Amino acid sequence: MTKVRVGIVGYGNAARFHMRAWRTLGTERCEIVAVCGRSKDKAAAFAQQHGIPQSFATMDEMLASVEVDAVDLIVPNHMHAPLIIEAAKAGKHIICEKHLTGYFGQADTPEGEQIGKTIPKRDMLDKVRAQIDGVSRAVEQSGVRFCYAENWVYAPAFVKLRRLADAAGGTIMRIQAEESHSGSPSIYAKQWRTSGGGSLVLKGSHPLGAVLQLKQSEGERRSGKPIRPASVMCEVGNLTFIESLKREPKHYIKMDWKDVEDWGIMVLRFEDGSVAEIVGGDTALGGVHNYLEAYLSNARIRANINPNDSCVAYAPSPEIFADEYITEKIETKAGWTLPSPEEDWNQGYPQELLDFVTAIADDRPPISGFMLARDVTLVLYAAYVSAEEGRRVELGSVLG
Amino acid sequence: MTGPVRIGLIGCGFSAGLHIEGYKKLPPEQCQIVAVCGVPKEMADKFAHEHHIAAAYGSMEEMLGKVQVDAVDLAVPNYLHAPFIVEASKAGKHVFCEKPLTGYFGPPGAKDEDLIGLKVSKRTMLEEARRQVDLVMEALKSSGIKFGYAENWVYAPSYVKLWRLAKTAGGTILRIEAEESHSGSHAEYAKRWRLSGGGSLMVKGSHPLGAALQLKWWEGEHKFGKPIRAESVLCETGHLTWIDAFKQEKTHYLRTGWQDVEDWGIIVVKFEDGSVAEVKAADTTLGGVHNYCEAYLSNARLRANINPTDSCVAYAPETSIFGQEYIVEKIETKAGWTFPSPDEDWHQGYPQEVADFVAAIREDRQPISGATLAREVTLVLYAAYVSAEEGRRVDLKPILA
Repeated sequence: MTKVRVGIVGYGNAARFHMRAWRTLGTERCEIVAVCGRSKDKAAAFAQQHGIPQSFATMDEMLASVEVDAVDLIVPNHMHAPLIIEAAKAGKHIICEKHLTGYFGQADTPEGEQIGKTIPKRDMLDKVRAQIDGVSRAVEQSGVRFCYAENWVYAPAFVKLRRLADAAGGTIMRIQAEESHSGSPSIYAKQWRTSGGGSLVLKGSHPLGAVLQLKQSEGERRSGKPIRPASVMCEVGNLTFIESLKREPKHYIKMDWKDVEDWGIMVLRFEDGSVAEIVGGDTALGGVHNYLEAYLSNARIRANINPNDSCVAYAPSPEIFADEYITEKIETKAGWTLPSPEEDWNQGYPQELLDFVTAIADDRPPISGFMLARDVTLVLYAAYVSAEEGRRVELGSVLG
Repeated sequence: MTGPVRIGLIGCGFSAGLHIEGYKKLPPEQCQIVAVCGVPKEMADKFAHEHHIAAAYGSMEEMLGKVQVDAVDLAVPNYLHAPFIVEASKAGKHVFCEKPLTGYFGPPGAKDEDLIGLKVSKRTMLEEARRQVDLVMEALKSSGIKFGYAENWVYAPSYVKLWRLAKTAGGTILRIEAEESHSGSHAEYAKRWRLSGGGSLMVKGSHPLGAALQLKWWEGEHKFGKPIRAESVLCETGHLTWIDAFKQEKTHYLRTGWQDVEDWGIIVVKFEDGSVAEVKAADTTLGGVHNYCEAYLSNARLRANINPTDSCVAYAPETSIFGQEYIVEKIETKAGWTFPSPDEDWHQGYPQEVADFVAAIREDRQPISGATLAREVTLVLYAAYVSAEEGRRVDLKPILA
């Protein structure tokens, strides 16, 4: 078996849970040979903490100094595109966290400008398309594998849903999917310059990715051709700006959103006439809310990624379960809760890396790849155009 | 009012059957069904015989001329709602009316087979529906009668509990998500715009829409003395049963034959305070009726499962095992896991809506679900149809004003 040598790019939060997932793959299929990041010291500390042999300050340096087969890009979104191009040119396979790319302002955009309010979404979409075209060319020309880390595609509940849908064979007529929780604490998520959008981008992209992948694979199964989205109609909102909410003395949901939405819904129509309703939100209490429901002509299937009832708990008082983890973003451990037995596995993190490593080793496309990455980003920005202009947007010319 | 409320039932089909079960639960000193009318008269006779009603007539006019009633219960086709409300209120009779209040059912002289849903612009429909709504509201105002709008979700116990919890929690209702769907109406009338006034959104979506609008209305009144109303809609509708791959399938578990109406739709409402609602309806859902309302508050999260609920959970290895025992509306099989509805009518609020109508007359007040809600739902629905047709957000302020 070819062992895939991986260089990690980035050392933040996401890198930590990637490392957790990498460790589950053992040492025969893959090896983390190096890590790099802006601060050489932080990279070194990360390397030490996670048993990685070498650390560097830039990806450039890393690729020049050590043999890697693939890079795992776990860096801020605005750095994805340039790093993908660089890695592709160096002939390295790419594992890229969502998103492929986005709009984060230009080099000359003034520091404090709230670009989510000042730049027309149509301009954003145009720039994003142009950038994606550049990335696409680089990836194609290099012949490297591009793996898009959309974990929902690998979440066991979703995988089972897809297997059941394949077995049933009925037309997937309607899909409903959502990712919500009570809001990110980090400022990074609340301004367009660093996040590239709000709830739709940071949360909605997950269910969107799963939905697109489901229709893609249905089409491939039926006729060898993926079924792509044809139009999007979108509404976004700032529920945390509601006056009566602002006046409440205690806030359970995160506030301080700047120039991005904290709730959004995308209604897609596909080329075959089927539809999807996709929500991303930062105003839901009760723990993360991640699910996908597919309505087929001959079946109905729901994947409860988180929460699900594999474990159900009750405690009269919040301190009873002490430090034992319950689930992401739950406000209290009192009352009935649905503790997540093994959240990483439930969410598909180790499984996605396994597919990527195997795809690279066996020279086949990963299940979640470039087309999905590209379609998700373009549909998202077309959705923003729809919400801003208050009208349905045809996707034919957007997706090309 | 002393003495029982004397009710004349107009119509003897499915809705009439539902309503009468509700009236029967009330003691005779509170209300009595004194007459029924329907077309053809033979059907009315049969209904009267089956339900032990004293008199049967061939028309509401005849009935009102021959027997003393205090109120009429309109369980008639949608396109008859408006004219019958006007007629009954002119005769000074209180009115209980099934949803919708009214709608657009085609230009005068339109035939059943005219596919007006594909030919008439939704904007024209909205204007005509508005006219009808105004006529009805005027008739109600000048007659001063009690008007009950049979939006059973408002009375469904789980929804009532949801509102009680929301009221107590006091947090801002930020977002509402509600849906009614099943595998498709059997009735032919539901598949033609001329008879129904719309498709899934009209026939089903009006329920979750009513529930969502009512919640924000009550929230505003309770907290600020002023209802919070809908400000804009964005809507998509579709014909999922027209998908080629679906049409080619050999066995159809979903109803087909949708003529000129949608079989799926979603209405995204923005309210004047900035909150939102996602209201969905479909005739393309397997697994039994799917009726729920979920409210996301700033300090709580509530969900009313109207149907199904897990108060009773059953499993059987084969569909024949539970014999003739009712499980739930529109479930395709009694095999596997099911969620039998212990008392479906009660869960859905049918007896409660009728009881409130009767009590309202006796107590000289308006029913909880009344003309205001009925009007809002009709206008928001048709504005939604305009949005879907024109592919754009529609501002509701000039429409609801």
